[in-house]
Amino acid sequence: VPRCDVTRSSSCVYSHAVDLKELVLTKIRELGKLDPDGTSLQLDSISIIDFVLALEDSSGIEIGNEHLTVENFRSVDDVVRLLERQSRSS
Amino acid sequence: VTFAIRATAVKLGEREVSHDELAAAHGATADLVATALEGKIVYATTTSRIALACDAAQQCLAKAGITIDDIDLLISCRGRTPEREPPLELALGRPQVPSLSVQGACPIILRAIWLARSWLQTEKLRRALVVYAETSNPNGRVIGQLAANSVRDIFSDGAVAVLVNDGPGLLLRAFASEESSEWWDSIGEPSSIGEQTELRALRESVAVSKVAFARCLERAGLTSDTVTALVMPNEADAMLRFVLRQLRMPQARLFRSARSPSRTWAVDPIFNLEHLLAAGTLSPGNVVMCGARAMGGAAFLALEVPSSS
Repeated sequence: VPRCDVTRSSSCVYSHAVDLKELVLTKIRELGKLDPDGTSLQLDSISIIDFVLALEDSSGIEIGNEHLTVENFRSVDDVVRLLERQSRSS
Repeated sequence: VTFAIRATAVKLGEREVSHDELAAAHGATADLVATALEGKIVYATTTSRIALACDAAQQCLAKAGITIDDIDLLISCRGRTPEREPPLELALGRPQVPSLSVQGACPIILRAIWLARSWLQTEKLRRALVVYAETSNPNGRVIGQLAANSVRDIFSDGAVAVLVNDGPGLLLRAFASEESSEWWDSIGEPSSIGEQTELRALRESVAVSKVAFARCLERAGLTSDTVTALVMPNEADAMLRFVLRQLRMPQARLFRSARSPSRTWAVDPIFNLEHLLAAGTLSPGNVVMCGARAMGGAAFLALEVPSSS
């Protein structure tokens, strides 16, 4: 999957989304916090900070303190959607 | 008249508490304790809170070349544990010194320093000694539960003393604090922290830090670009990085003493400040932000290196 600049144009949305999913999966696996079902996350309040920092460092997308909610970090898809929203709003 | 921090001193418990000891006290495994602590060293004292406070106070006075008899005001601070010991002024041998006792979470030390400055200014006094000291029993060292998926912060026995005067020293430019009543309302007893409230607590603790930091800068007439260095409690690396990012402060400006394994969030900032000053890297006009955080509150002091030092 070609990488896509987070400040991309709208033509890049699809590959960007796929990229983000790969990124989320990579980072959550590195932390060892992916549920055996392959989609759910097993984060606590300490590992979630590690995860957010890794995502921000790798994607350049700022997640922001106010988005640290259970709803945004239940599954891989939740995190991808959050990154997409944040990417669009930045 | 300007007011400044003239001297500081830190005194820690003399004994390191082992991970096994903490684990036994909290019904957890040593591995879990190690994970929770991330290299933090916890100190315990065999004396008392007031003994630690006295040691720190005497060291601070000695550094300034004065005695307790030269103090116009004594402010004694402690955490949220109940007081079972004699007043500090009695232990220091000057029972008649004007004194007050304040109690709160870790940022209380910075609030008390600013309170001392305000009293000196209002009452036309010259010197105030601010002392914070805390001791815990093994069961009282942890906020949260030593279990997976829980908030846990473990504290040392320690004391810090700060001499505020109307003379030379590190200039006190501004203070700001912020507390989250919502945070305290949400958690009730620390042991009730659950997944939802824990994340909410984390968000709140960072949010109040952002507010206090911004307000302190504003009151000092500063922007974050003009801050030379920042000293904070020694939290876990990831948490510190996250907080700095939220404050929009480059990590390079955070000063942490190499001799500073984390101990308590009230003692750490002053300990780091001492070592920053001793490093001799600051220049006249430089601004240092001194921050203290607690789970439900945060405070910052803006300090300036005077032109004459």
